[in-house]
Amino acid sequence: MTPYNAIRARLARSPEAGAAAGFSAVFLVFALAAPDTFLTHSAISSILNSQVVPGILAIGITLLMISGEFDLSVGSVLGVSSLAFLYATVNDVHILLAAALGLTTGGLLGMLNGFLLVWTGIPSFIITLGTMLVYRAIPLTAISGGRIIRYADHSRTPPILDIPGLVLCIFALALFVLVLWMARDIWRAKSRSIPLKSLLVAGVVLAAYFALKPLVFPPTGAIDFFFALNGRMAPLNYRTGIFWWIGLTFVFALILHHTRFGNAVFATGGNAQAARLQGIRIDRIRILNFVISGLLAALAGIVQVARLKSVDPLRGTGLELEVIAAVVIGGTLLTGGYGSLIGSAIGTALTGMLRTGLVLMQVPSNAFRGAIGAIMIAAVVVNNFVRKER
Amino acid sequence: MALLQLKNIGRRFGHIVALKNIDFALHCGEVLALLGDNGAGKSTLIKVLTGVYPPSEGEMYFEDKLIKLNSPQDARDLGIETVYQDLALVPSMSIARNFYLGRERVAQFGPFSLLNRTAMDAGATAALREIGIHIRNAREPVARLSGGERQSIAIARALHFGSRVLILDEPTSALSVGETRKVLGYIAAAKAKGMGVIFITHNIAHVFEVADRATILSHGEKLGDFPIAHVTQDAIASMVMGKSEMEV
Repeated sequence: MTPYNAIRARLARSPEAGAAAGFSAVFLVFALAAPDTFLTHSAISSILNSQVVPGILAIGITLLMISGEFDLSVGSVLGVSSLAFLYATVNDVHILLAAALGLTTGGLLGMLNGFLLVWTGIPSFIITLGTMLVYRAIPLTAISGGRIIRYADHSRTPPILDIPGLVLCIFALALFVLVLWMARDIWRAKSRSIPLKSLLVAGVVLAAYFALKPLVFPPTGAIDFFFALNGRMAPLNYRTGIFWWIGLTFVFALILHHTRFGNAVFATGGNAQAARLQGIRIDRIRILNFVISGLLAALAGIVQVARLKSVDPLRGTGLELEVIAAVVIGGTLLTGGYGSLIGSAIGTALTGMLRTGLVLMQVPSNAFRGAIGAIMIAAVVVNNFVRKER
Repeated sequence: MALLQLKNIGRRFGHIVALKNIDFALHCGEVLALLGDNGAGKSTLIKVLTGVYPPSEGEMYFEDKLIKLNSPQDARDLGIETVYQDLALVPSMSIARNFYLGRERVAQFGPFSLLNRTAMDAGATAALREIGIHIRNAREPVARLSGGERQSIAIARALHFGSRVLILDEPTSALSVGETRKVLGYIAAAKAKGMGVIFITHNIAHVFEVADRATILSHGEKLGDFPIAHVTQDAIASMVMGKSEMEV
């Protein structure tokens, strides 16, 4: 095997390789073309902040696309869930209950997509194209005359959660027990690895410190709900939502590549008939993925409300196509069975970088969508070329 | 005692009768060849036996206990393993992941169970080596393997997990002479282990090589059971083709 072929073989095994290469190339171009403005905290934070919502949506879309399905309705689900959340909040429902209501709304709308798919057998592209329009009608009719619902019309103070110290202590202890439990299993499984064992001991000691500290120094648990979800962190402009985006991406990547559920998702998209014959309940996998997609769309909506503190009837319109483009740039195949969440995160960051970078290069902002389209086609061509390696 | 027994099994798809009044028995350590022309109902019968199509009528017994198979999982739980004609492999997934598909090995980390990939890679490699197939890398996607290699993986999987009944739907149709020899060898090995084997084929020479009994289907009905020791290849061949009902 020549070095050239070896590199291609390596790339073919990593769906995200193409996205990473494209990301680096575009980054370099902007860094060279506009070094004074692009390589600054304000530009980078603006890129990351703008991609928190599409980034969270991309997780659900990626799972669905790997299992061979489409979801065009995420933008509408986001709109309905945001409305449910904020409407409940401004009507004096407790902020946590309101968030639960928003998430439930998203989960149920996703579940409806899934059941429609399984019951009718119509391609999910058509079903979610339909539900995209149906779900969109909800905020359009509920918020009459294009009004905007604002949190500020309801309250001048941010929603502060007063968590009793006792609850925090119990939570810390429960987390500590979980750490101990997992450490025990890792200890047993890797009984021969000395470095890992020392790392484990260090981890447990650290966890014990954090678990026992609140018992000695009683904590005061007041959290600004909006800040926790997507607040601006002083002194730089980065928002806390970035942690949610990256954290969720890693958690779902772990689920996708290292659990039986994730394996079933790949099998359902790769060859549904074979998966069924090997005892995988493919319909359940499909419905579950739609529920996850709906829940994540709702979460993205709530995170967005935490930043904008308002909901308008068109909230989330057009997001689905931008997210699907980002996921495809990330190396996930439309045909199912192949893809990567890390790739989707890179693809989402790349589209955000394009938006901000083009503005910084003083390209008219309307050219942004064209650039995304061109990059997406280029990414698919490169990915196909790399994957043909045998 | 019969390992697997069907009584009066029928299966309809709408108005089409695919199977009618099938009585059928399989014993431990027996190789049964299922023969019949295209459209005779062989594949439908296999799918009834593996829980893909629940029967429209009739009863099924496993070790004399009445059973209902409503999904492939039910059949697998009884130790019935099948090598389907299209192999039921996912091309984009690795050899090891295909081998353990639907019964992945996991390691427990507290309340979480994560795939034990090292154990699955090693297990698949070892199980394949056991039947004489040496693979380079258990993480290689099945898409890169030849037809014969894919067949071997599907058979190795069924042999590894199947404890009681092994069903093979035309396992040799896409294979070279050498590979076909191997497959016939696996059938003999499964029989020696005391498993019941059901074997669909169009090749009557293979039937006479490994089978104990031939069951012939025609237009969804059973023509009869024929112990191999008491019939000739020509007699079987003409019954499969339906030219005449020769006495045996």
